[in-house]
Amino acid sequence: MVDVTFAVLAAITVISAIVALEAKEVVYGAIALALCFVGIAGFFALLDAVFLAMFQLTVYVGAIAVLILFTVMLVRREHWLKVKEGVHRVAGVLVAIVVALGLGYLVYASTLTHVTPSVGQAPFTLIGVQILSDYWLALIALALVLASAVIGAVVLAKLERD
Amino acid sequence: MPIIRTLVGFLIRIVVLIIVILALGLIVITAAYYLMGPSFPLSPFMLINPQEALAFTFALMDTDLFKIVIFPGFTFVALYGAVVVLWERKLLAKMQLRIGPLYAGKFEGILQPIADVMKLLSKELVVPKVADRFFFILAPILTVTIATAAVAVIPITERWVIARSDIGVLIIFAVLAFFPLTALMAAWSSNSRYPMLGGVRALHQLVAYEIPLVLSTLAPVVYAGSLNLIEIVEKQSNLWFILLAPISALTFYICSLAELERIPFDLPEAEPEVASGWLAEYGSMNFGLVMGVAVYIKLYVLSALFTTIFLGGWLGPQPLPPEFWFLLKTFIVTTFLIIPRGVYPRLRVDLLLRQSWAGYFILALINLVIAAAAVLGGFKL
Amino acid sequence: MVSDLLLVLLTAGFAVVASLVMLIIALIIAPKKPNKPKEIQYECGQIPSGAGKFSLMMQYYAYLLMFVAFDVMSMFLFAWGVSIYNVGLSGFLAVVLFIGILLVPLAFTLYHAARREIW
Repeated sequence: MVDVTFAVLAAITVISAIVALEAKEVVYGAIALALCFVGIAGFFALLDAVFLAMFQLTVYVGAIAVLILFTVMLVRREHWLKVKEGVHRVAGVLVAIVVALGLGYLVYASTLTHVTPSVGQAPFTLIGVQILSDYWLALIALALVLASAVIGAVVLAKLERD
Repeated sequence: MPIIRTLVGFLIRIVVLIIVILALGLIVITAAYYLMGPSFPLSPFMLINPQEALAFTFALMDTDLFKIVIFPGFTFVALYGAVVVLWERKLLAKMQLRIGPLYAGKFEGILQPIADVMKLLSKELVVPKVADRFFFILAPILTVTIATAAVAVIPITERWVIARSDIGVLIIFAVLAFFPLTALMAAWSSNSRYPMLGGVRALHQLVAYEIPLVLSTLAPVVYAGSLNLIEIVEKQSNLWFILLAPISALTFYICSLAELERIPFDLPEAEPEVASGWLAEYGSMNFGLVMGVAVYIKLYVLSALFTTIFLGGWLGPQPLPPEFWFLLKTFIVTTFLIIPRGVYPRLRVDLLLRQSWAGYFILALINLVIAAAAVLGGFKL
Repeated sequence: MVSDLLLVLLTAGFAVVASLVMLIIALIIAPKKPNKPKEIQYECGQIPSGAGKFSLMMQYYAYLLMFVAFDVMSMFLFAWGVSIYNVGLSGFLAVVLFIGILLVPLAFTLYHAARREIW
């Protein structure tokens, strides 16, 4: 028995992801990508991870989708290449369908067919506790990755090369 | 449709319309009562028997629908916005030794908001030919929607909240993160130079001032130990957080001036420079939705947030009801958000961005570290 | 907590309905007289020429890049802020190190963003 909320959210997410890939006007694709991220945040909320849903909305929609939209708006139309499509597109869609069916079969054949919400919801303060006590090294690694990403992006984006 | 010529004529038509709707409603309720028997909750005898009517009204006020539509929700915020429109113009006028709106209504222009709404509704809705029609009309609707979504978590008292959420502060910031997206969508869909320039500057400004805003609420969250706005207010019963985290309060105030695109952070809407920026192509009710409704809803949200987090929400001396204290404090914060408009010039965009990242961001971090050190050192509220 | 999010969504939905009502009222009441000068873009009275979108917008790109990284940082600081009692001093030191590492790209980007001739 399929849950209506889940089905609607899944439809929104998948359809906007498809639109994000296939839209002729790239800005529509970027806005559809933002809608897809909102759908994923909805999935996090359905799984009772509300803190994570807000994290997803703030970071993905608020920062990444905005950056993608802004960058897409900067590119002038004449600089886009036209890609020859045809048999590659059909082959790609077929491969995607086969992979999806295979994964679905794997999930159904395992013992994972029914998810019981066992604990209710964990208090989100546990996220902070775990990040800072058990996984603090991962936090520092995250800081280093973010720092290198920003420095690298600035170095790549500016006009001089020295 | 007859052309609306006078304000008084318009008001008389509205009053007649309301009376007609109430009469029709009374007839419908009487018919339903006689058809369905006493199981129907409303009855025409409520007009005669005030006990029943009062009981029904109190039961109605606790439902979610009432809270969303009327009291801490949309209608209340829209009326607050209307009052603030008039108050802003009058206050600025008095500060600048002018008079302000004078002719709408008999007493000092008190019907000016109604005249403004009337004007905006009755002008022609022009969509430029090169604009992208769907997103051009969608962007103002989305701005109003997102601004109203933030109203849902703001507590006026413990009873008058729409959504009592354990992560109230984060919901407000997730909602605030949507605004650059709608501004960019509005700017791009106009497909014209001034909106693009203004929209990009709006994007940079909104995005740059969002981080110090978020971080400056973290110090009170650390003191209170919870993200729930109701608990944050309850923890302030001894001492307001503005005294414990003054730098954070100042950062929040300045960053909310920037998030509302108010002077001195007015560059996205500057008339002499970008010809009213990302709103340049917007006509009658599109403009009304963005500049009239959404901006004042955002103003209410940020003032109410400042009141809840720093000024102790609804706490106040007892003989007056807590709702009154909340509204009084919010109104004072709104006044402080309005006042710089009459005083300051505009900041240039690169100075504006630099000031945010090199100034307010560091200030918010400083106060956060101080708050964390104090709490870890044993300071308990 | 999910029901709270549903209430937020309901409020947003009501706002959509209300703003659509306002737009429809405006569409009904307002006159409709389209003519050509009203519908071209606004360029302070001149006749606009050239495309509406242009690519001179790279000037303040560095600030936008910083925003993505520091948005993630602020979310992690929120995750720390609510659990500050439970992690004590060691957690505080980890967060100070986290913030300190992220101050380096802040300084770097601010230095390069101020040099306007390279963007």
